[in-house]
Amino acid sequence: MTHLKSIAGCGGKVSRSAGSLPAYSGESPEISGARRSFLQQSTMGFGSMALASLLQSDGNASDTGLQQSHGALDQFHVAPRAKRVIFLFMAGGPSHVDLFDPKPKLNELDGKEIPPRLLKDHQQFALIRGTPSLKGSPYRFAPRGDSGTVISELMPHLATVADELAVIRSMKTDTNVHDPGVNMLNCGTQLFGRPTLGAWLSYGLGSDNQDLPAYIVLTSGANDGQPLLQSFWGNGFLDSRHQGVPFLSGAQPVLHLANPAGVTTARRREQLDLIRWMNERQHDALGDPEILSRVAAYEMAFRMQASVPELTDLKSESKETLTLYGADPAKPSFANNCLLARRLVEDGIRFVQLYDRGWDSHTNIEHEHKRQCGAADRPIAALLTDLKQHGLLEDTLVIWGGEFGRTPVAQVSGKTYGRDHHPHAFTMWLAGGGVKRGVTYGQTDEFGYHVTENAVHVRDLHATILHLLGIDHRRLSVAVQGLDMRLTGVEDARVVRELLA
Amino acid sequence: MPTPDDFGAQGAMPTHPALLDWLATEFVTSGWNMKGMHRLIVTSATYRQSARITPGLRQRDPRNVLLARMTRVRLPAEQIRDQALAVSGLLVRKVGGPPVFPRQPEGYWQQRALPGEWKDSSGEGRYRRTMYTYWRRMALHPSLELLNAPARETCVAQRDISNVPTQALVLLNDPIFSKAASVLAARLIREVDGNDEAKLARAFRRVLGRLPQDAERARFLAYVARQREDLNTHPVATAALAESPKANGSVDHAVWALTCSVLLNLDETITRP
Repeated sequence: MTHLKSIAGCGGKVSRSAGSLPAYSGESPEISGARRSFLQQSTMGFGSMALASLLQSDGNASDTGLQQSHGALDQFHVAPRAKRVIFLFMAGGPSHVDLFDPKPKLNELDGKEIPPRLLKDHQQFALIRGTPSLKGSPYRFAPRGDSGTVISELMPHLATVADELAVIRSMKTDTNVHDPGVNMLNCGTQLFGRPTLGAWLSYGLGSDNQDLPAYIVLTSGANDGQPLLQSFWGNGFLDSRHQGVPFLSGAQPVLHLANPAGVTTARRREQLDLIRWMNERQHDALGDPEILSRVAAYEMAFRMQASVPELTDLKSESKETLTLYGADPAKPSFANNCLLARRLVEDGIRFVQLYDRGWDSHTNIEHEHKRQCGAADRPIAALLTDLKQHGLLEDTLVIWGGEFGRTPVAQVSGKTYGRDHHPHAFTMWLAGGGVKRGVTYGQTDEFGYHVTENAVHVRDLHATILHLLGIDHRRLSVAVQGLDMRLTGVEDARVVRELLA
Repeated sequence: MPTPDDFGAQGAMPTHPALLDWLATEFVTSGWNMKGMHRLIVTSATYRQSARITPGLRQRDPRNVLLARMTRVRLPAEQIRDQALAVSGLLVRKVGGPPVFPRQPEGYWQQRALPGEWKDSSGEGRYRRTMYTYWRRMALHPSLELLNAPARETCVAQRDISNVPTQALVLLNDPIFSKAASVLAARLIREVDGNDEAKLARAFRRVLGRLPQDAERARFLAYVARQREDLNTHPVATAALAESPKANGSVDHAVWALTCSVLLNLDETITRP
């Protein structure tokens, strides 16, 4: 076990003090040094050796839990409150003024031109041209649960678990363009080519389940929504084994799990040993770190053949559970994905990201948001309920939100109206591990246009999420071409302590 | 130029502007000769460099912006499949015609609540070049999707290429790839009179375009011998691994089908150069 012990500390290149200057290195750090020697040292093949069980049986591992998980960090910076994350990403941008942030004044002045003062210091709208009119919300809002958390009638099921939520009404982001906005919320920057939150966590904390990827992506929703890009679950400059692995929606989330007829598990193992031997030779000759990622991917594929079928078999869930979620195992849906997400975190998956498309309601928001909420409301409430029943909510962080909100002004489109992209103020919520229950944080102005109190920039949210997972956002960094790159970048980011339980 | 799909304000600056100017001038003076430009580029010393990444190069230019080596690129989805079909001899080289429907997992299309049905092509439609595959944005052929083929919702000048376990499962288990391995195995048995060594050399030549090195030969021959021994003592239904009537069910065919599948799964096989 000694060599396995030594890899656990392979975070040697993670800078642990903000002042230290790591050696210049353009590659992701784990490629060199420890990981490579780990691969070379475990000469018996870590598939055939069943590395996972070997690691799990290591009774001497410290109680931090990090020694077993192959993360770059060898200890937490702060006591972790959550072990894993489910990120419910409402792609396109849900409307805060129709869901969580009621504005009587907006309703009162419905149809009046937008006051010019709101437009000061403000880039132009994404699509609206000219001077738009204020648009009130047609939905009834009410305080819900004991906490009185306000949720609109579009999400009646979520209202039943309102006391679990920490609603942040004062979110801000830097752009009103979709893809850069998604990058902001995932990577802390509008730029492409950076690691996403899930990749950072896979890198920093590793995995608690060696038989499945640490970062799994599930997609659903309207096909006419904004396209989802691979970079939405990308690894950026980290090793590609940290990238999200998309499962397909539907009855078979992972295809081709069965070997061809005649290929027994033992024969497959021998094939893989030979593939791996050849690939490692290729790596020795060329030095390309992607080859080692491929070796790891093939080994993971082998283990997934055993682990995935049972895991993804939603039919094994009770009828009550399926009804709770509104899930039909035979048909792809956001509901199935929520249920699968619970099963995944139950199995120790670090980061499960659900993308639900179709929230980008420019033209007929009343129809579209009803459709989206109709498909998402019940499963989300079910997920929180189910996590709680399984005792998972206390150490699973659930994040809900989109890349921005929607404008309090109308984007008129024939007889209907929609709302444009709105980055200056929007709502997200957190629930679960280490998060205060039943609170509403931050305030926007009388129109829901600008944040007036307790602004939470995306960077602050990231700092808070990392904090909940035991990480100081300033100390999880990777040296890339002379820069210490981190999720929160170089600008100030604060842990929003008011949200912590 | 790292952002071929964005020459605008957010695009990256060209890394070798003088070279770019020279190439542009060459292109014009050649009479806009596209093939000539391709030849000029692919026969250049820069293009023909080794892809070896020395520690020094990795330090100084991790992303190979300055082109001191060849950049390794995993093949696109279509080429990975086409290559497997071509090396086995399955590939139908017919040009043009309506799209084809190569086999995909049963029910995949229906699950996506699409009208109509995906009816697997029979005959040559199974083995046409992948570019002829019916392309439906809402339900792209799943093996292509898993290998990063874009749905074509937007124009993609440069594909995101991932490296994840679900891709390994396609290359190992998708019936088209096991079929290709099996057909290549039948072909080795049919066409190569010699011993295992000769068959192995042919298999390497076909899949990797080179002969095995000594260590590789020894390792592969040991593998072949071990599989043969195993299959002789524990016979399994080898029919599934067999495609040619002649080789049908033979232990030898099964042994080579397993070996060819290994070759089709190597990093070297699916990566250029």
